[in-house]
Amino acid sequence: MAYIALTKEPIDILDLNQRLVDAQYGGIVTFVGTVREWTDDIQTQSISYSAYETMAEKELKRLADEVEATGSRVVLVHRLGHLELTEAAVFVGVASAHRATAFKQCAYLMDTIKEHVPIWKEEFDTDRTRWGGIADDKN
Amino acid sequence: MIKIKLFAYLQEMVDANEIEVAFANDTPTTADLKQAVAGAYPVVAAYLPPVRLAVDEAFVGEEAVLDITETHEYALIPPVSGG
Repeated sequence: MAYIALTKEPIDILDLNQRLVDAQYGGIVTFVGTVREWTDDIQTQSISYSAYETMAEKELKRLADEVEATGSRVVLVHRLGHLELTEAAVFVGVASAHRATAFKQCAYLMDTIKEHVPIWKEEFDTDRTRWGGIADDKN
Repeated sequence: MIKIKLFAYLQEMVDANEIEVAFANDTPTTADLKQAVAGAYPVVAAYLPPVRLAVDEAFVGEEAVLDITETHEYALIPPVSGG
């Protein structure tokens, strides 16, 4: 059973990893996206994440169900609110019988979240504020 | 007249999390809806081309025909940037 959450609290990585531990799985792959300071010459100070929460939860659930139909277990958690540098914004974890499947599915989940799940970042940079998703804003 | 939810920079530009838009007919397409929003809120017009529409929390295409005589939840979804 997948664990899905949007949370305003800091992401507890060890707790989420533990949800993937099971004797039937031989590989756990996790990805943690964190707040980065530099993007080329742009210096970020913090990021605020917002979401269309009910739809985002549905999309995350749909994605997790798709992957779990293959026999894997999925954990997807995204942080909302104001995050400082180095804080975890997203946790994607997959447990499967073998490592190749877990690596592939973890990458697929993260890539798809970045394309389809209605969550947005607003970057507070040293020169100005930038919304993610606007092409001319270099992010 | 239908209500449309706004998010991220669209919400900020219009300074509202929901707008109301009127249509000449009851079965506009997604493209018609975006055009109507652009007409009513010129400040967001240039940003609408990559924006997607969600009806009842599911994405629909540009050519989708919307039956606005029924009650649905509409939302404009700017390019997402989570992760």
